Amino acid sequence: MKENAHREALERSRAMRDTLRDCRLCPRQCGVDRLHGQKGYCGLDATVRWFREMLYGREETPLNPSHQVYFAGCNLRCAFCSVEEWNLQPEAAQPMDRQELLAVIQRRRQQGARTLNLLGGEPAVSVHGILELLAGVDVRTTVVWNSNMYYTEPVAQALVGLADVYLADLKCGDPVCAERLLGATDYIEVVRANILRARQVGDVIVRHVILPGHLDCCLRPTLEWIADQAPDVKVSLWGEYVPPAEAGSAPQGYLGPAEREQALRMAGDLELHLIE
Amino acid sequence: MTMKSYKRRPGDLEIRLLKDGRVVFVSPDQGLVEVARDLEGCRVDPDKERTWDDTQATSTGSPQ
Repeated sequence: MKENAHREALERSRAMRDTLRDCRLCPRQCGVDRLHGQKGYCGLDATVRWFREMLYGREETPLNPSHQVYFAGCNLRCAFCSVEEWNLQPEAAQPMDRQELLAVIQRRRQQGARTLNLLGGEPAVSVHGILELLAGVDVRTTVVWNSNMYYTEPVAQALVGLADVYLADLKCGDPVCAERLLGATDYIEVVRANILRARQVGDVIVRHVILPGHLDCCLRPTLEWIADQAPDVKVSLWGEYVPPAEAGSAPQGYLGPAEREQALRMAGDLELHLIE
Repeated sequence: MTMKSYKRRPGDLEIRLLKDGRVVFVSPDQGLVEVARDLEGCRVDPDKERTWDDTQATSTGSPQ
């Protein structure tokens, strides 16, 4: 984190919290009063909730071992979400006790965590609480903003200097797929704009979960956009897609070796900065 | 027994055993990550009696 941003973190937290009385943290623009208990698309009022933390060694190599903290609630409805239960029922997650979580973060750091990895759900819908948390975290901590990047300008501004690495989960490359699989028609334009913005203020890793059967509609345009607009960012192709148990709009199979190789070839042909 | 897929609820953990022998840990917690790590490098050979030799365990740590 940058020292000046770290000093401002509490103030930024208060400012973001104030906006919750007419919440427009994300493009859903719900406009609900979360400070008075109303809940919008993400299912959260002003209480920040988290459901899991762990020291994990299988994120992208430069991040490992990474201390993941999972916040409940999300502004997308991905048909293949692997933590859907926490996003549909965020109130089942425990409210954030700042001191308790700070102690956990400190302990994980002593256990060897190289990065603090904030994810969910979608952390942007809990940004006010996360900023408050970061104000108490050691300024030397490398903070990873592990996000779907589907948020509005004030959130992006609030993160400047606090997020060291933007781990941008760029899911779809086609608006029709984005609507069908994520429930957000404007997903691609919003997320791409936020990635370009993030690239000006931090290190960016674009992660793309390779969806079986979506190489031409989603992977190819995504990689071509990166090559054209952000060729310097690191790219991580995630080949461990897990289909949902229930049939729906999401791909039902696992990624096979042929599609995995094809994806790597596409990225190689575009000379992208691939990382594992 | 019902044919309907079980829908995870908050707090549930899910392990899948695939036909090809892979074990998939869906969004594991710390405990399951440790189990996955212990299983890495292991493989059940159906023709032999519990022989463990190759990598077959995988996990999705970050949600997708």
